[in-house]
Amino acid sequence: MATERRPLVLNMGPQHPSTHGVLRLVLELDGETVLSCEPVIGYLHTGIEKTAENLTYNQAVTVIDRMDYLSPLTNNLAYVLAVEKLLKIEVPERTRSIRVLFCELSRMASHLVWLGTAAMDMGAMSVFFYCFREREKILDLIEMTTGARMNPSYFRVGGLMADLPQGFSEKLHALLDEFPEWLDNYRKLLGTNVLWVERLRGAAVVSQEAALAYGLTGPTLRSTGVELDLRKAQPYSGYEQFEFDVPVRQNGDAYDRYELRLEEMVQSARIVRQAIDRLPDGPWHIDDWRIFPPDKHQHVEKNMEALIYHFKLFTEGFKVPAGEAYQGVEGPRGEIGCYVVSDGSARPMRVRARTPSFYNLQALPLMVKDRLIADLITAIGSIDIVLGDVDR
Amino acid sequence: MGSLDDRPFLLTSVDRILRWAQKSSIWPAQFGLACCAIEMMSTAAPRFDLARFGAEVMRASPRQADLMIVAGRVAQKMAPVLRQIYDQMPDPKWVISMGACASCGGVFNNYAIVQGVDRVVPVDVYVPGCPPTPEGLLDGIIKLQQKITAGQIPANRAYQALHAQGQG
Amino acid sequence: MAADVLESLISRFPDLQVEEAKGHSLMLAEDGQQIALLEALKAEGFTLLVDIGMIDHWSEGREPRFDLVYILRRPTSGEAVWVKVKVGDGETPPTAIPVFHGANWPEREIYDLFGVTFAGHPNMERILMPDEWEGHPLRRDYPIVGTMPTPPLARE
Ligand code: SF4
Repeated sequence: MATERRPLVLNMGPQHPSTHGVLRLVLELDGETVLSCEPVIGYLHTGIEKTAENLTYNQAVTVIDRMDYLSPLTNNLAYVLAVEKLLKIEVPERTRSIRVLFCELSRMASHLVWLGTAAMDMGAMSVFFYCFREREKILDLIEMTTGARMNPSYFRVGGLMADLPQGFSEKLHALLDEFPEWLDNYRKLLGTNVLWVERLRGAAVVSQEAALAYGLTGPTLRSTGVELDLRKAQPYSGYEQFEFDVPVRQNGDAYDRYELRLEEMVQSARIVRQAIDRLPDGPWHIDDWRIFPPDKHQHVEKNMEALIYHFKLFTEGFKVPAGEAYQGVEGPRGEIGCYVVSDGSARPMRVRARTPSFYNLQALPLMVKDRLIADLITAIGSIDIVLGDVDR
Repeated sequence: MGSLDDRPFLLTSVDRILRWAQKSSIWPAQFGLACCAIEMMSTAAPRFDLARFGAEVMRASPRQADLMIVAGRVAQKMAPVLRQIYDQMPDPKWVISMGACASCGGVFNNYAIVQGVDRVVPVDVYVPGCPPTPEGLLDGIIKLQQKITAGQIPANRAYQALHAQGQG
Repeated sequence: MAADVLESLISRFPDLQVEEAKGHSLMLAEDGQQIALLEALKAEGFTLLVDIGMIDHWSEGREPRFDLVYILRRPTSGEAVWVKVKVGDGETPPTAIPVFHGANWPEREIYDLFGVTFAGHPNMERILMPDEWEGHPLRRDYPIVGTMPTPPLARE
């Protein structure tokens, strides 16, 4: 009697160690071959867009942080720049450089988490320990400036939360001097590891045309040969003043993405060094009390008018002229875009976040079709999703 | 066999040695939800080294775990899943609610987030912070160990007892 | 946007209104035209679908109530273009999947959060909220704390 051969439907997640959070995949398997894969998302839907509509413009910074929690500062930047576009204000040179500096630091931190967790999925435990050990050093810098290790909400409309603290530059330089050594280590641990290389080569391939149609951005897009980096193509926040390269690869597979991300860290370190070495003196926020609060010791404690501005700003917020603005920035995962629609009041009417992971994840079924289930794990790791970014 | 007199020995009760064993090898379920999960990973990483407290064996399967660290915000869609995972854990089991979101909804007082995971599962220790620092989570785990050593019953049993009283 | 590209577009879509906003060009399309316009833009080199989003103007009392926004990018230069269409409550704009495969999820998201269905979409189901959810949370008239009752504290 001939037995009928039926595909096996397997439910992976939402609690599964290698889905990087709460992703659920419904897989149809024939033996170990993936016939189809359907991601089910929404297990971390937080209603961030709705919450932001109910906060004042500066308060909304805090919830925008929590979307892509591996690089919160890049989210902040997209939002803050969009609001600044609406307000038609330009922040001082120093503010812009500090913003760039922190965005690049968080890109490095984010790629380190990616490297550690992706390697752990592949069974390489020790890489995780190295990456996290070194990420702590970056977090130390963020903590000493902003007071928080993660989700610092450091960028504000019209400026920053605070200026750089004393001793920051020395600590940063020490870190940058150490950095090439870290990379050497990873290259030794992984780049020469046959298992790692063999599992990544040729896995999770996506073609250039599909990548564009699916809206992939970031390293995932650049691994297919498209040289699109918003920092270069549509510079924002003064990126045009920095020298750096945009690494591109051609094969569109997981190995290319791994190499790209390592290379991006090198470029980020380059930008950080330029930013700190050329950091201009001067104000770190705009001088407009209606938008940016007056300094507490210098003004608020001495000047009644400043006190009133300060009070009004924190109780009512500032009004933003009606209109809409979009700002896309290059995050570690791709284009983080924020469009803010104002109706002229002190709260945004709509904050829409275009998040890279949402679009990148959509292409996952494409990458794993007719591949082995082990390649699926590689693929999830290689597109570097953050579920908070997918579900918002 | 020699007599007891010429060998050193310890006296204890079965209960105490059991509790000591329980507290010294807590196995958390690897259950990350959001930003707090990254801090949970940092806690397990070299600098903070959860292994010093005997709780580093993160199990991927709830059947092998006795502590659930709810690290992050619990979405409405996730709540039933979370409850199921909790039910799959063997008794005795404990729950740490890590972070403002898990404890009370945090900054997200909205339609999508369950306003406190204690609406879904009984919680033993709440760790404040957004995200709590790794030191904070360590403190939460130490608090839990103290609770176990002191013989306090897990929250789920306490609720059961309350419930039985209310009915009786 | 380059003048020749613009001219050829306007000759094909006479009703098109074009504005140069900061950082991108904005095109206001007539309802029903957007798919053809997207196709034309794709042929002109705007092959990267950046985003599909929706804005609800309910609080301003505007009719039609929604703005449907498509953002495209030219991968070689990074130049962006918006296509904006007004959509009323209950209308069903056509899906953009035939032009951009990536339109699948964002359109589902719009359905989930705004309650606008797309005609011709293969899988018009909720994506972020649970299937049994009532209402569409991102509409401006939906209360932020939701309409579902809060569950009681966990007691076994
Ligand atoms: S408490 Fe803060 S850090 Fe933790 S999940 Fe909630 S928002 Fe994220």
